[in-house]
Amino acid sequence: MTNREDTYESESVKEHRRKWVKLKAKYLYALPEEIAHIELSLSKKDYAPAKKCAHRIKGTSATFGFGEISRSAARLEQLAASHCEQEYSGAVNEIMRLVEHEIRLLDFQRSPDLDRNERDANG
Amino acid sequence: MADLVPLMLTVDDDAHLLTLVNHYAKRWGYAHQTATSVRQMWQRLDKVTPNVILLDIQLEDGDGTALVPELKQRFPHVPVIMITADATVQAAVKSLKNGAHDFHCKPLNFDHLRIEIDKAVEHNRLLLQVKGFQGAARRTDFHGMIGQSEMMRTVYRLIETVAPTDAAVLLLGETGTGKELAACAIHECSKRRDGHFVAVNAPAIPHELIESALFGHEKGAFTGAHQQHIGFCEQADGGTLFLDEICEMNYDVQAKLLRFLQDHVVQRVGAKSSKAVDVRVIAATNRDPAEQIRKNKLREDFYYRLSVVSVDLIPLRQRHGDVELLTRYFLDLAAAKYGRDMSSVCPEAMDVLNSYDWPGNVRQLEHLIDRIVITNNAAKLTAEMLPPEIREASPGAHLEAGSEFGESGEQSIPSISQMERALIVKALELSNDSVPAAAKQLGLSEATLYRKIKKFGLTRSFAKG
Repeated sequence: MTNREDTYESESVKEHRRKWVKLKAKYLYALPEEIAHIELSLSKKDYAPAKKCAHRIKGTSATFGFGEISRSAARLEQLAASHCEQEYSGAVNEIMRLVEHEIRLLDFQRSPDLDRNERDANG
Repeated sequence: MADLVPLMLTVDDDAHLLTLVNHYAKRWGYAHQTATSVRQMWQRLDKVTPNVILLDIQLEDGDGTALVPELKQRFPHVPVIMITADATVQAAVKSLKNGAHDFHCKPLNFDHLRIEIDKAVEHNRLLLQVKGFQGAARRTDFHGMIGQSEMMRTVYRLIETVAPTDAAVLLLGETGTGKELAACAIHECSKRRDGHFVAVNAPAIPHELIESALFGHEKGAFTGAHQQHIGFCEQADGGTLFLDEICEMNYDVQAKLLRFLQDHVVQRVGAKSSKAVDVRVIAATNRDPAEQIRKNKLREDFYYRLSVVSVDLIPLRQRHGDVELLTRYFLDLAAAKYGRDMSSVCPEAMDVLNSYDWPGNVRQLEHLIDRIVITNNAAKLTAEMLPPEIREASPGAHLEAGSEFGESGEQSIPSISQMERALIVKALELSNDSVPAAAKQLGLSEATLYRKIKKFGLTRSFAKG
């Protein structure tokens, strides 16, 4: 394999990583609003939309690599399915805490990561 | 098969997940469309036929598993891969029983998913290929020739009569009428069918090389003859030599071929001895031989030697009813070639195709269908997919345009003569080609209508009673 192909390959991988980080961040920043929607639905005892929303988060967050958020969403889905009123606020707080933690982590990681990518591209 | 970008449709109610799948699909070289609901999915499927569908089970307005049977009914060749966050054995079994191709649990593992999607698309491609070729093979009427019109049946009968003899045959017909196909059919019906069929397209060979191409040469016969070459006439020994576009050959070459036709002997350029060969010659031209003889483009003696039997290949516009057969045949073939599932033609499109004049004949129709299949990933060929020059040339188009004159000032106005022709065609269509009935509808006498049919070159055979 020639050097040019190596460079092309790594550029493509870098581009993919940059895009992945971007999509992940976009998803994470959108989650608090979705969780607020679940909380509102549960407070109104409107269980079906809450369950659907929690189910969606369960699948997509796991695909983005947020295993703990996914498990927490699965718990919320179960609570909504069983119309369990007592425990939902604890579960909502828990998932929100996990999301905020991931956002902080991502914000912390993102800038140096992008700087490093820039350095790689230039040198 | 030609490499067209396969289309993937992902149906999931999470827009973020769709964006992520979109990113990967493009990375893998797929065209990608998305739908966030069942309703949107059907809307997409009204316009395109994907090569693979990724379908979530829990959707806002429906259950993905329950949709599979309908999807399989409408698009039997499109694999459906289920994706779900509920990884239960029951859900997987139900999906597969309903006809899903595969079942994937969230979190999606994109490496595994890619392998499954590639496999599913390949499966889809092979199914479409088999379906297309089977359909095309079913539609062939006579040794690869398609057409059930009376005129084509006459051609088939003539080919069957002349094929068993060794007589030279001259095929006459406009460009794209299938002269090479007819030559092939003669070869296939003859006792030479196990020998070679060698087709020579004279205009494609430079003048200075044609003698060597036809009769061969010995090593060192001329500058650049680095090795011995067996010419087409010798290659066809025991078989058939098809000489296409004979009027484009120069006079000297025609003289040499005439001698070959008389003696059946070839002498390679630079060879000391000659060799007897057993070759049947079929020739073809898209020009009028009499005119070419007058213009000194075709040797008269060569023409008489070649035209022991002449077969006229009919222009497509005169082959009443064959456009539909040919369209379906080429559609099957193109769908197989390009991995598309376009298998039907809407009646409006067929009307336009039937009424067009096809100056490029069957070849023009074949290329048109190819182009439509390549550029439209849909289940049905519609009139909108036809190029404007064909739509506008159809008599119906003028009639429709005529009905809109009052509404749109921008419509181009057809001439009175065009309108008259269109009305006559329409009246004949409505009266099943019965001239008396059409004349009655138009308020004309039969004699006047016959005169107008002749004037407008409407060459179909119309019923007199």
